[in-house]
Amino acid sequence: MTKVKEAYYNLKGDKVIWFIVLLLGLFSILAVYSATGLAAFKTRGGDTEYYLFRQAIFVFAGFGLTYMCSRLHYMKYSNLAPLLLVITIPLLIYTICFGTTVNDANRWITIPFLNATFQTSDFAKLVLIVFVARSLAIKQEFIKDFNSAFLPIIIPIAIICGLIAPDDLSTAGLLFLTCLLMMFIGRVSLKYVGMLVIVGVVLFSFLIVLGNFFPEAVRLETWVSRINEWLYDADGGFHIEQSKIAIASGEYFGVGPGNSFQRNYLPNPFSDSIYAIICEEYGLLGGLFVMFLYLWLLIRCMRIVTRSPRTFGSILAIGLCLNIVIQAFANIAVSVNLVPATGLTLPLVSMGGTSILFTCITFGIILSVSKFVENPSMRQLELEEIAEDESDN
Amino acid sequence: MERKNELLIRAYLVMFLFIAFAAVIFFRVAKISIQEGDKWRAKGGKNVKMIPLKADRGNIYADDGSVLVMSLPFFDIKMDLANPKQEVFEKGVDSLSILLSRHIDSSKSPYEWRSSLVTARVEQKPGYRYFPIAKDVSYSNLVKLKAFPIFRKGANRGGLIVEKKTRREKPFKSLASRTLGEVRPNAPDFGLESYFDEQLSGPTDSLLMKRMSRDNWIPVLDVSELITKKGHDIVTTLDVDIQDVAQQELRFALEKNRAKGGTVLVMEVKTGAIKAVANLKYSEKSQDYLESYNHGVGTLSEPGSTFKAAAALAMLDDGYINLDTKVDLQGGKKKFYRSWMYDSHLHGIRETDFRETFAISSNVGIATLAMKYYEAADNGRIHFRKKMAQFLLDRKTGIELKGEGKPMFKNPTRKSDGWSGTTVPWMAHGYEVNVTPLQTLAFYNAIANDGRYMKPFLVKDILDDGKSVGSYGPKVVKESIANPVAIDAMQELLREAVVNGTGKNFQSEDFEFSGKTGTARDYGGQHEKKEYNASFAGYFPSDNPKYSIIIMVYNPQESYYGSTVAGPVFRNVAEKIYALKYDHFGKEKSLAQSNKVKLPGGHSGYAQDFEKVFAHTGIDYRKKSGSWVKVDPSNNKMNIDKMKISKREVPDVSGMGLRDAIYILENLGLNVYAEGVGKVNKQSLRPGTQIKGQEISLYLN
Repeated sequence: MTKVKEAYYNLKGDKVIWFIVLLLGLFSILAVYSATGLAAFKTRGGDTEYYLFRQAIFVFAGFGLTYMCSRLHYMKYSNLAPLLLVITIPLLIYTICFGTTVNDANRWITIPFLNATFQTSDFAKLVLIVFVARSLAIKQEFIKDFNSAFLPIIIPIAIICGLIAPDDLSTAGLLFLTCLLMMFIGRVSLKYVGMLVIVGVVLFSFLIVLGNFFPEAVRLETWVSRINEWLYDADGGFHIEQSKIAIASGEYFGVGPGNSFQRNYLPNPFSDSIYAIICEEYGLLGGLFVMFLYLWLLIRCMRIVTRSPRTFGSILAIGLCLNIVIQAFANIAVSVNLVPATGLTLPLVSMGGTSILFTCITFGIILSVSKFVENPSMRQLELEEIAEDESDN
Repeated sequence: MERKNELLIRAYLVMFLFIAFAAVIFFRVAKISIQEGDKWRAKGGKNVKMIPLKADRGNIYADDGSVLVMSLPFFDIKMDLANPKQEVFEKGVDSLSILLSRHIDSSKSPYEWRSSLVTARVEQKPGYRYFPIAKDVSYSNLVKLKAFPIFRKGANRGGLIVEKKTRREKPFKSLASRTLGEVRPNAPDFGLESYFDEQLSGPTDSLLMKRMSRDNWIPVLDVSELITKKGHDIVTTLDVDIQDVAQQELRFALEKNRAKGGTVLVMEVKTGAIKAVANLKYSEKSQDYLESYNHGVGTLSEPGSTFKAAAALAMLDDGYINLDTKVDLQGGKKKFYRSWMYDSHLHGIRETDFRETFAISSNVGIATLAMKYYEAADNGRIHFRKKMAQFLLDRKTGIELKGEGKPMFKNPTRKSDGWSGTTVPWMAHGYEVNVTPLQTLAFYNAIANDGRYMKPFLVKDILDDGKSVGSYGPKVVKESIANPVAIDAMQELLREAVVNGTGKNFQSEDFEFSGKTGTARDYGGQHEKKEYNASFAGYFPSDNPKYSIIIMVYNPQESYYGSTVAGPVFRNVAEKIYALKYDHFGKEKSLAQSNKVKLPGGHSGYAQDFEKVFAHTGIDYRKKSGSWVKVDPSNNKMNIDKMKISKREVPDVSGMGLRDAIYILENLGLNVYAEGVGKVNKQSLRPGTQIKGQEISLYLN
């Protein structure tokens, strides 16, 4: 077999998911093309080609990572998960203490020697999801049990989410929700899942009350005001208003790529507010298409869940997928003022650096699982392995 | 399989949940875009707009890098009283009022501040979203203000509105101010500021504004935090020290002679770089001489005897005459056609050589020769006129200033110009022709530069963020304006004119210089009395000249001869430049060693400056540490003593130059006003007074 043929053979993950990944990457480059027309970038001495170039490099590097991760057998991730989880905890603590401040939050750390920054939570998120999928799969026999199944799963979740929360509550909430849904799908007793939902709501309310009493606490002020603005300001604040103007301006077919006007008025037009810009430039149809891409991803992952011979594969694929989809919907929902501002980006589409790479790794792992679903011979191989595993037990 | 089914059921449940959520989002987007579409589209672009934001204007520098003109930012502060939340406002308003009264506007008491803020907020009268807090706040005060309670919450939650403005500041005050210029709304622009307006202005940025009420727009982002582009900086050829000397000497001469105005231009011979442009014009209104018009570049007048050099060089270059050519001066008066021509006095000299004719500045002598070669000969007039073009005297120099006067020469072939039989003899001694002082100087500079005509220029470089854009610098306009023999002879004539001629009485003991006096009757305009312009154009030192200088004094009252009014100014300026730029002249003998200098006393200033001066003049000195010092002579030695400068008390700046005094006092936070020229004589705040950002006036003499 030649290298090319081998590559194509290995590419036989779900081709539809590959298609979605490529389309989202394309949208992100288009969006950043639009960024180069931004008045603020143009006139403030910004080197506009730099942003386009940078985004393209990250997206293509991301595609490379997706391919590499999809080649790896997904059980490898399962084996690595516990070790990585142990590493993640000190890393998160380090970030809280010494992280670089971006937008008032210590979310970033600098990798020594490489001098690149990345958001530790991106890494932690990935590791935790793999770990939870693994734990759920291993404990399927006694999954309804509290002490032997529920506790060992919820404790790492609580620790990781708790460490992310002080600096980045939105990401922590998102991750918690993802894990909760994974546990639900992974057959954890409804009693305990329901309990978790109640605990989550109580904790959240408690934080709001705390925020109102101690407004100077870490970042609490920011999201308390976000929630208040959302609750009490019918039309949203200045930025939400600008976002709605952008969506309305696009009408059905949009004003065309690079012609956005509202990008000059929206905060972080190419990360937080990118969906509004897409709606403006590509219209209602373009906006719906992007949303549909994420929904389509979810539907394709359900196909994996249905057909995957291993529980671990099913839960891993759906968990990673949900994490992306929830984040996407959360971002879109902010643009239309359905939920208060979260600061979450549109996965893969928003302008970004290392976060694009992590999203691409996520896609790669999903594709790695899908490989064994798509290819009949590989599926057969998988089933034989499982039989072996079970006979070992 | 049961397990798998349970898992699948739950997973599909989750998927449908998401599809439902997607549907909700879908309807929401569609609602905004279709149902509410018109409402939002109508809002778009109406309540926000981009306005041009001017870049910070570039600085103008002297040739040594000192700042001649710079932009100081200052800010107008408003407050949107609707923005702060009730609890934020209630909690902060008391301390905000106290701080505003203490630091920003003490004419209102804390109580008054508080009640005006609270009333405006509660009553919501028009303008309460744009409540004026302070005008013209400096950057340092803005930093303080942004830390005040409520304001520290920023624009959206604290209601702080900052509007940026800039003011042009000239640290050296009136120094070369006319040349540096000004860009003014509703009035004509002038000077370098005007000529290089585009470069100094830099690119225009855009700023996002939101509407507060019908006509009130405020920036969405905090203006003081925007990184605005900067216009280009301009590095001039001006030398602060030479400019200072030129201005001082000019003022001194104008005051002494009660003249209407005057100009001093200093040019570097080899390059054509303008080192100083001093212009003063008497203002009836302020009873003082002001830098209010650029005479040197803009004022055309009949030059008088300085123009004899042009006639002489023409005849020398044509080979009609040499230094020994004999001419009959007729005792000092002669009739040309129907007009009498007189020398400055009836000297009684008859036949003499051209050398003496030029040295004593005989009108009759030079006119007689010019008549012979250019009026009597065939096509002589046209040839003479062509000579003036050859010397580049009939065109603008192209200096980087607007409003340069265009020389006026008659055209012998055009009837309406009225070229008559007396035109050549009168032109030969500087009448029936109009040039600016700068044009005359550029011509003399070419003679000093062995015939090579350099373009006079003021701008050495233009910098964009420290990087040079485009090439600026010396330009040779004409390699040689006349043949070398003629130039040699011309240099000899100008040297003679000072050593043995009209310049005899104002020679320098330190070096020899060359040049020509001029005393021109001013026939332009309506005068009740006779008016004269006294001038001197020349260069120094005679051997290997470094600088060429022209002095023009308009309508002096006490005396009106070039030799008594303008000549001494040349000598004084030249001597001071000679002392300042000792290194340019390869000077060995120090002034102090020649024992002619009385040791000066009672000066204060910057220690290194003094040490440099003493070291170079060879005066012995004793020093103590400290950067600001007082010097006093004792036992033929200078003592440099440390000056006490505390941050809290006004220092004694008497005996200091204005530049040093302003530097120290402004650094201590005082606002300095100065009057007079020279060293500080009196200061309005007594030394030792507590500093509280007061104003201090300095009187110099």
